[in-house]
Amino acid sequence: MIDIHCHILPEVDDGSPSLEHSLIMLQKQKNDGVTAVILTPHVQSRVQTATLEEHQEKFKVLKEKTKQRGIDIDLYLGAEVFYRGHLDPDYQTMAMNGTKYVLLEFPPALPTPIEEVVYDLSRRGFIPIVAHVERYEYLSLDDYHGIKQSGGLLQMNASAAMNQDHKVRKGIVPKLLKNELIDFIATDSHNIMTRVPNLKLAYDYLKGSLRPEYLEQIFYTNAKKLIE
Amino acid sequence: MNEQLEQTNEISLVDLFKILRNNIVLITVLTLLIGLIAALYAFLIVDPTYKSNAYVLVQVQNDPSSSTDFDLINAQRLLATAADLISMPVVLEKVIDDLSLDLTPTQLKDGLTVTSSNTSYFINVSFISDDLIESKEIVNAVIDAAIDFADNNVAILEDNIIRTSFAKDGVYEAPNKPLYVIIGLLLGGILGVGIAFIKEMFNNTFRTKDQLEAAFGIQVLGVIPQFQVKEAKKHEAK
Amino acid sequence: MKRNKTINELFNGEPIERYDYLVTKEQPLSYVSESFQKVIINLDYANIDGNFKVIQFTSTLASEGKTTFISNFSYLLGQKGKKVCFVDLDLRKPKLHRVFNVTNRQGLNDYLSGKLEIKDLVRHSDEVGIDYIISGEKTSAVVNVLEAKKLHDLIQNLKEKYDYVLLDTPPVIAVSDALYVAKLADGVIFLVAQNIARKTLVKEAIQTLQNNKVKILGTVLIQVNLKTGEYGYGYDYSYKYEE
Repeated sequence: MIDIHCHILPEVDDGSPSLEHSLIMLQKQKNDGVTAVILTPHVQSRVQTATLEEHQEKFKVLKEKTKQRGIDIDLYLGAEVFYRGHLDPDYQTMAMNGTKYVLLEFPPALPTPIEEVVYDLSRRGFIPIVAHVERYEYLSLDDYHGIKQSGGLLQMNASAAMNQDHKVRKGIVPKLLKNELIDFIATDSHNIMTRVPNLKLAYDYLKGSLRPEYLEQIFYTNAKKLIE
Repeated sequence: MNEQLEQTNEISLVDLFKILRNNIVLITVLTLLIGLIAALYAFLIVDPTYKSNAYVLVQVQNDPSSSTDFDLINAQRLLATAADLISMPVVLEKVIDDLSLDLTPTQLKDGLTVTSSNTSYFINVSFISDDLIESKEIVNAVIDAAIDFADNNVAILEDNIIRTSFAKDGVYEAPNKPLYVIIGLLLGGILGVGIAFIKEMFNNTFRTKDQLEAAFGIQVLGVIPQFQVKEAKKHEAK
Repeated sequence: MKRNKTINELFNGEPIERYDYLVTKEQPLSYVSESFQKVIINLDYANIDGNFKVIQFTSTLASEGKTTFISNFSYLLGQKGKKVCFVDLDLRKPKLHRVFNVTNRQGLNDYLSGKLEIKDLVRHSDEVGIDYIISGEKTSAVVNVLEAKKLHDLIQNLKEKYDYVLLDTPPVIAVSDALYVAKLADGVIFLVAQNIARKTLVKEAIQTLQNNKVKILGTVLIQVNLKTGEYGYGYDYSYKYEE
């Protein structure tokens, strides 16, 4: 399995508070059967506490330490970009592992024209991934279809897939999964206490209700394209 | 050109047919639905009723000594008396007794019809009941009881009411099932057509080129139909 | 033209707006394309003196199918050898960029605020065979933009270079944008979608235009459902005229 959305990079946002913490989280991922992780710290967000350069440095340190500890897991750097309409950043600097994929986050309650943003970015050559899509209260099933049609990909959090997220409105998670609209399941894990890496749990949870090929795609094959 | 802002309200026969055709489903469904309801009602809910009847003859004695006028009035009175007698409570109570009927005299009277004619001495006694045997038995019993009572209590009628036929098993009387179904279908049809026309009246969008042109007097440059996208071009992920 | 959601689509959940699909290009022999040709012919008659170069398109409500209509219309004009420029003046809900599959940046708003040169403003599409101007970054000062002298000059400029300048504007009822644009246009073609806008609203829209002395060149009845046989020509056609 591959996790494309997590806050395991230490001391850069509201995720892992220390290097040691990160290593424990990575060990948990490894135990769960995760072979590769894309670290996606918050960017353009009020919880961001480090610059992009600092991300690179911390990333290098984390990779070394992980190897030292003998945790056999591949690490990549990306970002979770909070979309700000008035800003026009160079999204390539915040892309996933230097690819054209960009992980985007939007306000959960304030209606935002996500489809237009996705359309815009895709015509500029990027492949936008919308993070934890189940959280956006103002999107209808048609809206989700529209986002995909305009070139976007949808990521769902593992906890939401297991119906553990109470902030999510009723019924949307099964609908999204049943219609196979989701492209990625990721942990969005922040620490080892309250928002633990839980990819394996989600996989087991969904195993019975989804097509095996589809299950494989959303936990592995789709994500593989980001690390090639 | 602004004078024609009000939509002209003329409708042609062709338009009427079009309205019916566009709502054919609605009309058919309603017709069948109400027809079905009527059929269910007629066949399953309403109890069928049966009618039996029989005749009695009232013998009117001719007195050669009296005048014909008097005889006529007398005869008529006798006939009427006999008819009234048959449906009197005292007779009906005996019938109820004899047959152990679960009816009051009034109820019995309701189902009973005694008719006498101006032109003959025959009286027809009929009864409508939901049981065809019962209707027969009641008619016969009523006649028996009436004759019995007359013979024992009414001098002018003693031995003069004569049974001329026995009632047979009741004949189906009501409800008229085919009629119910036909009425149901008609009502459904009328309802369907009515709704279709009302819908049409309230539809206040523009439907045709002519409507559009007539409303504003501005030239309609063309009419573009809906179309479908022929191939599904899926956006490729790069 | 928005096609009605067929039951099939509802089950498959396919969205319906495909602005980049030009039916006149993909199904040139279809009855739909023929209908567009008829509109062009009728417009030619109305435009015999060549007075109407800058044509504004508007409707009563949003999403009646304006943009789709104009894109197909301009494609056919281009096919006939006319030089056409299609300008997106619906600054609130711009759709033009979707017809050409580009992102909505470096457009009219950027030009008007001085950030863009005119040569970069007008784009060409080989696929459609016409030139176009997208609206650019959204602005809240829509009325200022529409009243700007710079815009007026731009349109005059385009008028000289093209046979037709086609303007996409917002619906009349929602906002007054269409009225501001009308001052820039030679005439208006008013689009009415079958069975969508109430007659009273359409009347209100047209009257508003007429009260403002706007020249209405004509109307077009669009999104007509052929199955009910009600498009006023009196006989039935299936839209599959020829494959």
